[in-house]
Parts: sequence; C-alpha cells; structure tokens
Amino acid sequence: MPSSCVGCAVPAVAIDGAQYPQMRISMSEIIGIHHAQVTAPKGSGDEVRRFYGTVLGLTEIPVPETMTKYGLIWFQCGPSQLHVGQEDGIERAKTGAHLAYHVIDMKAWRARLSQQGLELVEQPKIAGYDRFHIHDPFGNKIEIIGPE
Amino acid sequence: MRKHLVTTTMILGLHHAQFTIPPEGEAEARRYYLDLLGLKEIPKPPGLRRGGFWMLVGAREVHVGTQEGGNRFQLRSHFAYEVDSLEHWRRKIAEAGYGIEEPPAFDGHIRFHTRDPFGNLVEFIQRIGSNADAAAGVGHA
Repeated sequence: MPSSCVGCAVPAVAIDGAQYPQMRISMSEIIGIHHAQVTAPKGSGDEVRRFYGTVLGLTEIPVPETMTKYGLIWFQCGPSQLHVGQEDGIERAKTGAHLAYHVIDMKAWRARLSQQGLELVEQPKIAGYDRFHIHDPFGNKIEIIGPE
Repeated sequence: MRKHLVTTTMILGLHHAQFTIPPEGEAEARRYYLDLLGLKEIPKPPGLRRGGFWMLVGAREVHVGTQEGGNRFQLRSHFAYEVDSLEHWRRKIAEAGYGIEEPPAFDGHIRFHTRDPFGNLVEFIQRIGSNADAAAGVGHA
C-alpha cells in the first residue's frame, strides 16, 4: 500500500489508472472542521463582540454580503472560524455541548477571565492538558485548554 | 519580549468541539458518525465521565457527549465539515435517508445542511475557485 500524506486531499503517489480509485476515496473524506457555530439571543450583537472580540481576543471577519440579513457575526479562530448566530428561546446553559479554545498560557487566561467576573469551573486534567470551563454571557459552555 | 507575551496569551484555535446525543443513542451515533461520515474514533482518556466517544476530524477532535432531554432539532448551532466533493456527500447523505436543506450560498463556497439522527445540525461545505486554491496553499505550507 503506497503511503499518502495524512491530512492532504491527494495521495503522495503518482496518479495513474490503478491509483484512481484510491484518489477517489481520499477526495471524498471529511478534511476537517471549517467552522463551528454557536448562538446568542437576537439583539445581543454588542455583547457578542465584547465577549468574543474583546475578552477572548478573536478577530472579527466580514460576513459575506448574501448572509448579512441573518445577523451573523463571524470570527477567525486559528485556521478555523467561529460563527455566532441569533436564536431565541434556547436554554443554552442546559447543554453539555461546547467548543474548546486552545491556549498556551493557562495562568494568564485564568487571571484574564476571573477579572471579567466569570466563574471558572476546574475540570479533571487529561493527558498533559490543564483545562477549565466557563459560560459565555448567553449560557454557551466554553472550555479553555492548554499545557499543564 | 513583549511580542512573545502577546503571542502566548492568544487563542491558537479550536482544540475540540463537543455536541451531545441522548444516552440511549450511542450505537446509532456510532453508525452515523463513524460508518456513514467515515470519521475515525480515537481513545477517550480514562477517568472521564462514561458514555459517548471521541473522533478525529482533520487535525481536530470532535467529542460526542451524552445528555438527556432537549430538542436538538430546534438548534441552529452546528459544526461545518469541510469536504472536497460536496456532490458525493449530498448523494451519500440523501441515499442514507437523511433530509437535505439548502442554506444561502456565499462567495467561494458551496454547502448543504442536514440533521444527525438526534437533530444536531450538520453542515457540509466545500471551498471553490480561488478560495480552494488559497486553502490548499495554506494546507501544504
């Protein structure tokens, strides 16, 4: 079996008739997470920008023209994107669903988020990682994870 | 030194994302995410809450947790899985008997929405044109 580049869409071998079936399999795999979307109540755009832009320090990116009527706010998050949509009538604090943000300086993040008055809920460490949970102002669960 | 400090306190990216399924839905979730979507299961470290499983999606992890209650079909929150062959996935999901929704398009991307067996919104998205070339450039850098 020829080796292929893990994470690349195309096998690291010359493509000929015999290799084509393998290429098709490779091309049809899920490549990764393009974006994740969480929601906030309608009309909370200022608070979304304050929390995700100012407190978490994510960079806001433009929402395409065809999508502006949906009240979306988008942020770059490393190589992926975070999309914040608007949705009422949801009890966000009741779900265990969450996004985990990868950081390096856990001490700085504990200080920064505590100073914002957020409650830090410590989590059991896993294989080399230190981590804690917070909730955003709308009840979405957030994990901050970094080296021990 | 100052530059170094700024860098180490930035968020680097998403480490993982977790969504939830009902506790009794684990076998069905494995069929959907591991067999149909073809995602790879990775070991869940010992000592964590029982139930659910972890998967690798590209360079990131997606964790499937278990939780009672809630109507997931109402939720707009979702993850978007990036693919190179949207039509392949549209056919595959439809042939498996799941509904396809067409969200508004935007520049440089084509996409569709579906719901997993528990109601979680799932997006499939493909970069097209110069957007795809740029992404490929980044991916191989």
